[in-house]
Amino acid sequence: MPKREGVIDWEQARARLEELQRAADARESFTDEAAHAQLDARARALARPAELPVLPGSQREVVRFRAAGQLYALESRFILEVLRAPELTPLPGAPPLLRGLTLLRGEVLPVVELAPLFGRPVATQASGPVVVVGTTRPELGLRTDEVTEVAVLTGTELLPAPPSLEEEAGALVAGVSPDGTLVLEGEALLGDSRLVFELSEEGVA
Amino acid sequence: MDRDRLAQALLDSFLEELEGHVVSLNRDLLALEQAPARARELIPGLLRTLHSVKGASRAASASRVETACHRLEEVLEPLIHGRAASPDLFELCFATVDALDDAGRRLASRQDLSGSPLEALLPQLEKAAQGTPPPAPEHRPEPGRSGPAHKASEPPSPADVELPVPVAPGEALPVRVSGQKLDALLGRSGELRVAMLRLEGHAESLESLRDDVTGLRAAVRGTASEATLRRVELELARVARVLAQDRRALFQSSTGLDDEVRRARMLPFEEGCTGLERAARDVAHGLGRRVRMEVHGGGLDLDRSLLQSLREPLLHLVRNAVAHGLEAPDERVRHGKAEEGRVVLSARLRGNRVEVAVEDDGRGLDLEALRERARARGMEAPEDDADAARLVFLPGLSTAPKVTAVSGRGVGLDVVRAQVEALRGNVEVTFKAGQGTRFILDVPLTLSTLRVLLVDVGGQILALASEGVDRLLRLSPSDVREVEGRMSWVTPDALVPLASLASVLDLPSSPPRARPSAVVLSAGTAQAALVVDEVIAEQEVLVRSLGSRVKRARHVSAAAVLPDGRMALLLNPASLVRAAGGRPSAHFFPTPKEQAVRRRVVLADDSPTTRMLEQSILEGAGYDVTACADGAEAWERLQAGGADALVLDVEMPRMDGISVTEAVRASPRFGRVPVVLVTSREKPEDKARGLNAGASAYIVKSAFDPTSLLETLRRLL
Repeated sequence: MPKREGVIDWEQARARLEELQRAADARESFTDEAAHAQLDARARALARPAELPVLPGSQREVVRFRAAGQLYALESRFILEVLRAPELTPLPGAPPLLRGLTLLRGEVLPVVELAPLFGRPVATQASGPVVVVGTTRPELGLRTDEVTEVAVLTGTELLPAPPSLEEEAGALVAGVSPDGTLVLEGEALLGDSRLVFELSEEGVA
Repeated sequence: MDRDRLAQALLDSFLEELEGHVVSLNRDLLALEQAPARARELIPGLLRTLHSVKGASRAASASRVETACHRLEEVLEPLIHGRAASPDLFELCFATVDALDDAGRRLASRQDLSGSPLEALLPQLEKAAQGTPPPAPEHRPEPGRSGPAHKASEPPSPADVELPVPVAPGEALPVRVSGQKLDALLGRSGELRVAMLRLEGHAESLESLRDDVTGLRAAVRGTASEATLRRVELELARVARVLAQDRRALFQSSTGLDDEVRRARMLPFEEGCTGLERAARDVAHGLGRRVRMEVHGGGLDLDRSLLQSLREPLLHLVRNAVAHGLEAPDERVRHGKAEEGRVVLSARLRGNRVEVAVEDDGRGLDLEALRERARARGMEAPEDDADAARLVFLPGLSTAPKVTAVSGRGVGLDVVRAQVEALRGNVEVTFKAGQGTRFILDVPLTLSTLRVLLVDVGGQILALASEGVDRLLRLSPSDVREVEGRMSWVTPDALVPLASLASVLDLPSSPPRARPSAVVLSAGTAQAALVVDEVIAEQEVLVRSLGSRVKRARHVSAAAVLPDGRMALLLNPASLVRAAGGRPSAHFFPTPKEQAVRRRVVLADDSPTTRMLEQSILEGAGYDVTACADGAEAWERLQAGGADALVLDVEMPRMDGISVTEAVRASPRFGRVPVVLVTSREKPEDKARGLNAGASAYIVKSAFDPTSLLETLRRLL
């Protein structure tokens, strides 16, 4: 309230008095019914199933893609870029897992298939976008049929991987989303020893 | 700078420093162990180093490192008075230095030092320190008093900061740059060079665009567009000129940059040998032997990455020399040799290659044992001694009668060979019985650019280092022999193993040709001829490693970056030569039946539709068709690849069917090749003109149906 020197704002004083009077009247009119209704409403609110707040850190931004027919998702912080359809050079004697090599800005990038890591055969068609995986520098390319979208995934939505998969590649899978997308564990993928290749010379064990 | 970042910066600089200190501690301890009499000269150096580590570790709050250094100082100090150190004491000192090294690695990866080898050693160090009489206080180096190396141990106070020594203007101060930074710089410079090479490709397409535009001149002559075209031509010429200038400038500076970075990465060979002496000592110690290691040519500057890549193979060879080359001391004495064995590492330049040798003065190789072991594994034992010596590089053929802790680790000299070959190098072994063995590694000086021969195999482009290619061949059946189920190419002096590159590499093979191309490769003294589909070109390419995830690849040593930015696998000649020798027979020439079916026809028609139609008819009937857009092209293709028949349109640009026919008839090589003219001209005089020129048949297009063309060809061939 602006206070003017030596002047009383009578109008404002009257308004306040009226307001106080109204409040006093309202107390008279607050009946038991009204009180019950109020309490019921509070009880109902309490009885409603709790909507869990999203825990910080349980949400992750993922990139979804399809490889050999299966949908996968990988946290976007592990994905450096997506190459549209790079030319792949196969290595002699390479296992199906290692689809080939490509050049990324003058450096060699191995491009791998995900399916063999999960015990499935690779797709025969070898073209498609390559997802470049790594944290500080490009480490691996994942060959995909297509890269579908970037989505936000909440940890609580994830279901555990089926037992058969658990055995084969449990460490690689963080969980399965309700639509059947395998959510990959980026660290485990980069650390998987099967993705380091040592091809021996012929006739040498 | 906040507290955390300051702490991190201090730790980083401490760790960098520690690396150097560990090296000099090892060096001085080894020297002391070899010559205890030099204690007076060596101990102060050791103490100084320890003191520096101590001080720096205090600044970086690595208290365990500090304590360990302090104890080690106490252990070493009494030795200055000539007191002899027991072998156990040396063992403890070496173990401590190793533990310091390990502690550095732990700290770098932000691990705690509790539970580290260093912590485990502390009680022992303390005991050793107390076991010696307490050192006289006046010998104790006072922190911060005996030179700048001790500065770090003092809490810095502004009054005490030494002023930098004034430097004469123009004199460059040395700067320490981490190897990683130099690697990153080199990587960037490599990217720049790839971009450069691509630019070159663009310049070429601009040139061909100019040619196309020039070709339009005739079409627009006399029309309103003539002036526009002229303008376009001039503008294109200007752009091409400017591009060429810029390209030159860019090329010069990018090559210059690359050279500078490369020079910055050079290190003396000696530094690449760091740690090898220590390894030799440890192995010898474990076997109750004594060894002295010498480095010759240690001042030779070599590329850091080359030295790094040589480390593993050298380490292996040194350990191997001590464990398997040198004899036990009593045996050495019996043979009149010094008790102490000698291992010499040497490096020297030979052209653009480096020859690194690891030589011991031990017993040499036991060829009979090697042959025996080869036979036991069902292999042929070579008669020739040099070949038999080479058996040591085969997996599982170690010469040591028993597996020692050293030769263990499940690896053999085959790994050394693989590692050296991955550097596009070669390893050979020579020896003199009873006098010593010498392993010679021959590697290229630079790992980054290389002159290669590009070949096409099954549609894939592959690169072969030019230095490994002896010659190129066109094979004819008379050059090839089958000997004991193996194919060979016959030269006046030898039978060279012959195989197809596609089969060695498991690539899809193309149909055999009448005169297939082959590349003769050599590795050391061995040779092999490999059949390829086509030899494309020889050029300079950038070489890139296969990366950290492809540790070893079959017959492939690296990737070559082609000028257009694509990649070709760089093949390893040595492993190809080995693989070619063991190939079962194959046929490189078309069988008579294949020849009958796959007759080659050069087809020329300037109408794409007609050309496609005729091509599909001919290919459907089993002919191998080379389709050309005009007569000149047909003539070129005929000269380049030959043909069993020509099918030509009469009216074509550049060279019409009649002229081609005349040229064919006049040619001594192709004079007898049947020529079929296919045309829409049905006047008798045209037909006569064609037949006069020497055409074998004349088919009129209006009467054109597949059967008449095929029937005519069948009759002619």
